[in-house]
Amino acid sequence: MKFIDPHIHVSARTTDDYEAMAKAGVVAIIEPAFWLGQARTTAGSFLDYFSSLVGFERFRASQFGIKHYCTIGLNSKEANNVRLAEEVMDILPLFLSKEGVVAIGEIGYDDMSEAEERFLIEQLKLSVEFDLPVMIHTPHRNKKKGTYRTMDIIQDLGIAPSKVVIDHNNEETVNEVLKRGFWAAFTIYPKTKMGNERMVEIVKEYGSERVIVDSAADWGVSDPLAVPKTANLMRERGISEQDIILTCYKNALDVYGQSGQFNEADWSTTKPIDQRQLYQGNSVLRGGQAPRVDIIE
Amino acid sequence: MLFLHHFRKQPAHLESPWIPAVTSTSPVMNFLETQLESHLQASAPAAWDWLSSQKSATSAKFKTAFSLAPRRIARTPWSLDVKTLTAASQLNPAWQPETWSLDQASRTLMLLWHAQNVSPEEFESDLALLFQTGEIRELVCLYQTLPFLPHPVAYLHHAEEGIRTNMQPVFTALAHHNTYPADQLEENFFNQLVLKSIFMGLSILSIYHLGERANPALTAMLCDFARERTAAHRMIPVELWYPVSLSMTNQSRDLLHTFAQTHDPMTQRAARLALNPGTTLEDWQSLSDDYWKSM
Repeated sequence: MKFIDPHIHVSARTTDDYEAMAKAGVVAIIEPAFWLGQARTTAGSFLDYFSSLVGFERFRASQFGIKHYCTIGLNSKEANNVRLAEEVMDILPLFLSKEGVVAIGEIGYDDMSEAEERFLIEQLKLSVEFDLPVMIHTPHRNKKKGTYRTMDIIQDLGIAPSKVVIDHNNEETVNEVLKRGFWAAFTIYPKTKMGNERMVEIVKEYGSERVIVDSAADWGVSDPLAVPKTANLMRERGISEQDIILTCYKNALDVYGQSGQFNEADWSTTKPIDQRQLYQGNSVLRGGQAPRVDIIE
Repeated sequence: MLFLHHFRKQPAHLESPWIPAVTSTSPVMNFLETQLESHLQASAPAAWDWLSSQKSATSAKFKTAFSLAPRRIARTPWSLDVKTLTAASQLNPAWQPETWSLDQASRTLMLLWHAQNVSPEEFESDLALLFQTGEIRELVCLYQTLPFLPHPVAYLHHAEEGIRTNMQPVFTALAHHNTYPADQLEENFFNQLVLKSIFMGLSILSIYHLGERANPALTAMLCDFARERTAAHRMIPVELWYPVSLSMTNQSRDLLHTFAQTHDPMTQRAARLALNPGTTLEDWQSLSDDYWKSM
């Protein structure tokens, strides 16, 4: 079975993780721009980070047969450094029209400060200008209030909920998010937030429409195989194949596909990684020269 | 900068002085404009309208359009007939436009238009930003376009950065079927490009004018590499003996005589080719085919 992990910070992961993900059936991933654990102090750090999301990390993933996409945005924590945040806002447009950028994100609240709200609103307006979906990070503290307020702001701006994924949901937020017509994503964490047992219960209760499973794996304790593992658990617990496909593959494709940058053909037509593929754009191989082929299992 | 050529070492084996090819920008621009107009008009007139509206774009509009191109123009290849391909190779001997896609060819055309529209300073600064923030396919296009830009020596530092990249498609765009490295790079950078190509597991016969730029320093590097591989009981890529054979030193000759007697059959064959003055590029290509098939 094929999986999409629509939220994973792979820059922080190892090649062992990439191998395991490919083996488990993960065909495409979305890496949202976020906080690196250490606060950045210059706009140049953001510029290079965004460049790596559309450059080297994309190549690194391709070596394992995984298609890498990203979202670009100013995260909520670093929005609180207002002077820096203003400089970052100036460089965002350089990246938003690049290939494989499927949304603005992850943006939202952390402390629910004034600065966070200001840059959330400015970036939501950018999403309209660039006609891109939005990936919303909901706060870990004061989650319910923060989630509701984020949705109020989005709806006040007249942005269609069908273009917005509200991420890091839990049992307390899911009902309202789905009721208002947003996509509800769930981050499966090994210890905190949403465990995969709880995820199974949510799918049993709310079904699979607009429900999305992701790992949000990063440099913290997290599991890059969260999506395939949750799918397996769903299957064991008797959830239908259709619901598994929607929550672990198809819904992510539909919502981020609205960017025009996230197409099934990108990976369904991809052969196992080898030089023939890499050479396609350059046609290095002439006159029957045989390429080197690295089969990655 | 402009006099850099005079300080470069000439390949020792060449009788006539090595003169870098000169590719003029305008004929390439006209070629791309004609071809893209006919291809896009036939398949996607709206794409041609969009592209032609970029012809006199401002810097800001140009940079956005460069990124946007694949959203407006198909990423599909184009088919060019033999007559057109012959014309292309007369414009630039390494160019293989038939391996480009419509959107990438359009990006190159936009770069050439822009180089014409703005001052050299403004162009260099825009190009630097594109390199700095480049997505993989954007970087591929930038490196493929380097030989067609006016004042190509102004972009040496970008090419040198391209040698350092580990993104294989990006490296390949610079190293293979591109006249820029042989025409512009100083010896040490050219040699690094050859060795890096080998390290990345790529063919080096696709490096334009590899034979013309063979030099004793490269020979020494390649012989050291062959010894390392031998010590590690790993195969030696046979192609590396081609540039060695064109810039032979006493040391490389000794090594080849040893390898011709006591190495794996593929290396023995390569060593004999390298030691034979009658060996042609076709002989090397044929050996290379057998080598890649055996991998």
